[in-house]
Amino acid sequence: MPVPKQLAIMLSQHIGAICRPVVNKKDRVTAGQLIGSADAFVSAPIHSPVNGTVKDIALCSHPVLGRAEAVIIESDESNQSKQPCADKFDGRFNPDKFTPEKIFNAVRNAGIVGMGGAGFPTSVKIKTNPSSPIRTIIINGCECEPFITCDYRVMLEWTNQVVAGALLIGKALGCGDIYIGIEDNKPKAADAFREAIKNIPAAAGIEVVVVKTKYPQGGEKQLIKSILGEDVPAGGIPPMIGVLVSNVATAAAIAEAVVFDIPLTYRPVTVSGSGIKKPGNFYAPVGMAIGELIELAGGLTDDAAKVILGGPMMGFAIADLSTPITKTSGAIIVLTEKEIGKAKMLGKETACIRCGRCIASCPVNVNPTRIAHAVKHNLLEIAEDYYMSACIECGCCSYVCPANIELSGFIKTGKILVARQKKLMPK
Amino acid sequence: MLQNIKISPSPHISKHYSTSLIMLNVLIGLLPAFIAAVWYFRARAVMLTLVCVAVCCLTEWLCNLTRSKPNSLGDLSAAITGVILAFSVPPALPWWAAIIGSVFAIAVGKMVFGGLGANVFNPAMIGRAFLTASFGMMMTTWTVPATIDKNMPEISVKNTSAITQATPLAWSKQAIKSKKIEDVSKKVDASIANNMLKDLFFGQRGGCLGETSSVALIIGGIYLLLTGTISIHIPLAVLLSAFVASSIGYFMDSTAYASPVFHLMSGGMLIGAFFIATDPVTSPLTKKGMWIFGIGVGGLTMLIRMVGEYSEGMMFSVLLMNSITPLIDKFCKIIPAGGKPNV
Repeated sequence: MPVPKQLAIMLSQHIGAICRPVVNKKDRVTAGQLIGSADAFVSAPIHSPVNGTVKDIALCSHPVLGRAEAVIIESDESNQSKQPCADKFDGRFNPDKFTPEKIFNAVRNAGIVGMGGAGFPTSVKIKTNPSSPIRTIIINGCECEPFITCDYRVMLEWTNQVVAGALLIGKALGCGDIYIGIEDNKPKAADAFREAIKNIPAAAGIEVVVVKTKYPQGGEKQLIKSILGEDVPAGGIPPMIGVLVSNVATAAAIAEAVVFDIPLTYRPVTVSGSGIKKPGNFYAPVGMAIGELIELAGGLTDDAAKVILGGPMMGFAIADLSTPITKTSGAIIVLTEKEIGKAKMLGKETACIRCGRCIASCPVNVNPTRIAHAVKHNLLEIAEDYYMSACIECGCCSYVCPANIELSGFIKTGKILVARQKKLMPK
Repeated sequence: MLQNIKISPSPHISKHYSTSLIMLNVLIGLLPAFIAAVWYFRARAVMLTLVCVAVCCLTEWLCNLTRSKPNSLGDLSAAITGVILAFSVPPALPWWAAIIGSVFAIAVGKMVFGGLGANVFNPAMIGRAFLTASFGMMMTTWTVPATIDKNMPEISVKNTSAITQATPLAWSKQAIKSKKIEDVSKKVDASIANNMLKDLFFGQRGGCLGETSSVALIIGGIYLLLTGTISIHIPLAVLLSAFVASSIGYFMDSTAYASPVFHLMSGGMLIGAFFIATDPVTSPLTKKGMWIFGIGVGGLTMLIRMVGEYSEGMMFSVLLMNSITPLIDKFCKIIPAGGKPNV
């Protein structure tokens, strides 16, 4: 694919502190050069994907934050699109060549974050913590949202690289118990991994686990439950029970960063949905505008009605096609009215008939209707009393609601309101 | 391009069904019982059902109009109230009584609370309770099904005219009441009721319009379960608890108490278990709550049938359990996976 003429690289692409720009307007940058430095522990530095000139440091549309600061880079003619380095990984890979410190530093300096969507800095996850040692590592190959296939391509084409990344995480944490979880609708990916594990002597301990295809199987809590049969405490995180879950694309990025010192500047992106003329997967630079990626995929169809960054269940509706992709943007989905459903399209909400379908569908057993209605009437204590903080925001409740109530939307709003009340979040 | 771009919280796709579709499924589920009602009670069945549905819809429309609320007839819930009310009154009920019942059901049972989703009690049962309280005689006069040959000798000793007939439940009540009678010749044995199982199954018996034919109701109930319109918890809890409660009576004194199978198929037990108690608005949200609710409905019904004054208890037990549904919901809070979060 051609290198885009202009990139807007967000300084906030992860959970944690926002990066500090270390380049100035009109500076020349080269591909892989640091442009946003991460000073806090929970943060990840940001690099330029291309050679070019810094045009501006300005506010841009951000998919989640509304508007946020970004480094705008104009790329020059010398650029060539970055190629994946998966073919450089083979059976000779040995994680023992690297020390845990070297792995941590390489991951930290490469600015790797969770690429499945959350964007938690990976370096924080792979730093050994004596108070909660990691005993099991799960590589998450469950791409459970409809339409998205970028992780599937990663699993098929970068199999060795993903295995190498998994071994490096294991090495960094001194943990040999590694599983790769794959849904049973992707038998080819499971076969590819079994083959790769056979060929890499160091990977003999890795086990491929095929799990049921269902949404939200790829949620880390759900995957842990499926593979290990254990529950993560509600409102808690997997390290509390000694488990680390990492996405396959993240594992691949780790391998690339540790072995070749290449920062994370490109990522696989699915561009799909009925509103796209030629759906496909792209290896795209971070900072590329969503509109340009859509053009590469043949453009929008006439009945395109909604552009979503991320999957249709948890992604964000985009109003501005100049919004750039970030390290966590695995997919751009364009839906038509038919897929969205007429009621949802019109935002038409009817009365709750207390049918309990939201409760039956909830993967973490909370009471969505009670929480949502409490939030609607600004009764946050009641919402918390019904364990609002345990919600994983998967959207199943809104999906099944016959009255078309935005249950998940209300719950997310409620969580933000509570965080503001507790002064954990600015207004 | 994309002038009409839509922005909303995720998820961006939804299951293609709606409240109206759920209600439509309930109406389809009631269809076999309607066919049976027409077969046994002919024009009366058609007339009463039409009157009740029409008046329920009209009342809802008027209530919305006076409160300047959008028209809510599209959700079909008023039609269901009409059908269930018609199915739970005697076939001989005059049309004007049906109108009064329908108006009361919708206006007082539902719209004063704020319409669909806000009502505390099942509207159809409110309407029926009002009719029972106001027109006690009419509500206990039972027509003989049109399929019975009127020249045949009746089971009933009193009613040789064969215009009206005691319901099987009334026979079972007689058996319970006659326990205290010393005179052996006047005693009624519960086996009279137990011998009616075949008629109970197909519906050739006296009773409320839509609840006589067990087989039609079971077909409708299975349809609701298969389409996922209702969950199995409430029907199962109602029927199991009624079965257990009636078994206790049956094994204590089988001459006074009718068999459990008789009780499951008689009166409003099946229509109640599948169509009335399962009304989502007035039943609990959680599975545990549904079990408690169902056991309460089944148990109370049997308590009224075996100990109380009335021969049928479905209406009262549903209304009683409706009233404690908020309480059940309060005490049956579900605990999230992974235990309570530390807030």
